[in-house]
Amino acid sequence: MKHDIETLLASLKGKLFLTREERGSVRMHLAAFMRRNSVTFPGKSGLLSRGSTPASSLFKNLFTRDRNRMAPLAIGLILALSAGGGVALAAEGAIPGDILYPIKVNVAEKVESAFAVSDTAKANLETRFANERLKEALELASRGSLDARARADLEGRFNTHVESAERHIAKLRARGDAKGVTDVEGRLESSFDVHAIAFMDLDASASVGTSTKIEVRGILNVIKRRAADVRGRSHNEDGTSERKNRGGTEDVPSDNRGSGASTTKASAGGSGDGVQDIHEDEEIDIRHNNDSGANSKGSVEEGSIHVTLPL
Amino acid sequence: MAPMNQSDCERWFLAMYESHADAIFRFCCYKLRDREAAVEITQDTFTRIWEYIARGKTIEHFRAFAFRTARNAIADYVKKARPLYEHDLAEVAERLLDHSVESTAPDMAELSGVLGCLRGLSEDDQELVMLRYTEGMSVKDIAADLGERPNTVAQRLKRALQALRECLGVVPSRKTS
Repeated sequence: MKHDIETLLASLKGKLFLTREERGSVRMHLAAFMRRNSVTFPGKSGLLSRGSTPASSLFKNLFTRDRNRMAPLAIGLILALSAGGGVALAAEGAIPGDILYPIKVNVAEKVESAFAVSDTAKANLETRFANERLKEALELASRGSLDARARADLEGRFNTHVESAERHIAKLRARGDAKGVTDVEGRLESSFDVHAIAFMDLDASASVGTSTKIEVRGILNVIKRRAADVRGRSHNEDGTSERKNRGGTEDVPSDNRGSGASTTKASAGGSGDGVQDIHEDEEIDIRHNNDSGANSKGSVEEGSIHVTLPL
Repeated sequence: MAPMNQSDCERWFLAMYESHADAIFRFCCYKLRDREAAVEITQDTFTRIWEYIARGKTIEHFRAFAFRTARNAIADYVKKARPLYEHDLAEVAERLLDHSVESTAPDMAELSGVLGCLRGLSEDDQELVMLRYTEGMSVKDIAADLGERPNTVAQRLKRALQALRECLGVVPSRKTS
């Protein structure tokens, strides 16, 4: 035997892993599943234990990932806030149209950016800000107040953050920091996926007005384009030609689990989130209503939307 | 410790998924010897974990919890009377490995041999070998995850490796596990 057993077993790690397609498909399923099954928080003390759980505040990254790198930021922010930055803290939950929103995006986030040192930290921060813009757009849309102006503003800011994150990712890539690139791109992709699902839900919702849906679709297209860019770049960097998923239908292992989404191929009668057999750059129909028929091409008026998923 | 809202939980969970998905997938591959089934059970595993979190439960050690959940998901899968694939060894390796990864014929043959001999070990020992040599976990971490003493784990690993070498007809190495 040419190789030692231990070497052969170790080599499996580099040979046996989820393809990007499989990984993305499972992640899409999980994103949809999470939205259907929200977390029950036991009052305000709803905490998850160890395992790097993120915080919901401005300080999220300070106490989770990159602790060492973020320490100077923590100190800086504490000083800044104690010197009258309480307003910035109060602005944290602001959305476009609120008085404190300019403080949030022009002061609080800029301060945070100033203290991010490494490219990884900067890329993560920009990813979070991009994520924040999408959350704000969602919030506005769900209130029915996402108009063309607000959408254009948020879209512009979102693009700026994504481009900035990509510049830092490029630097990481140039330095050969493959793990850093994968981590940040994974976070970026996750954010795109989670929000794409949320915007698709809104677009399919009967309670959202037509004018808001137009803006929602606009944002959705931007997310799709950005996601395709990130995935395309990663794909090219890998220099691999990944195979398509094999066939097979999902067999949901429990009564309420995975209603409709599939790792490989949704069954014809699937309902729910409507995630189907997904291939790169393939056009598919996603039906969001609860009909039980097989997915088929349909118009927006019929309650289905026609999108090109970024996976 | 930081308070979380739904959105934070989702991002945290997807980050955990990104970190652990491949390891869980390999674990499922070892157990099921079928790539498609392994992808399915990987998805099932993370879905179950989210259900657990969504009920407001806490997770102390995510990796250990994920492996435990995967074991349960695999057991449920097998209980449904789905036979484990019993293809010839070359086909097993073929079914598991992604086609985008270059593997030479001798590599595949060696790998098939190892996979075949692994089947001669008990389920528990297969798992130990995988966690130690493929995932690169320390004996101490494995012992902590399984709730066993490190010495016990080290002894079992040593015996499992010896059995693998005998099966493959390899002269025992002087390396220690």
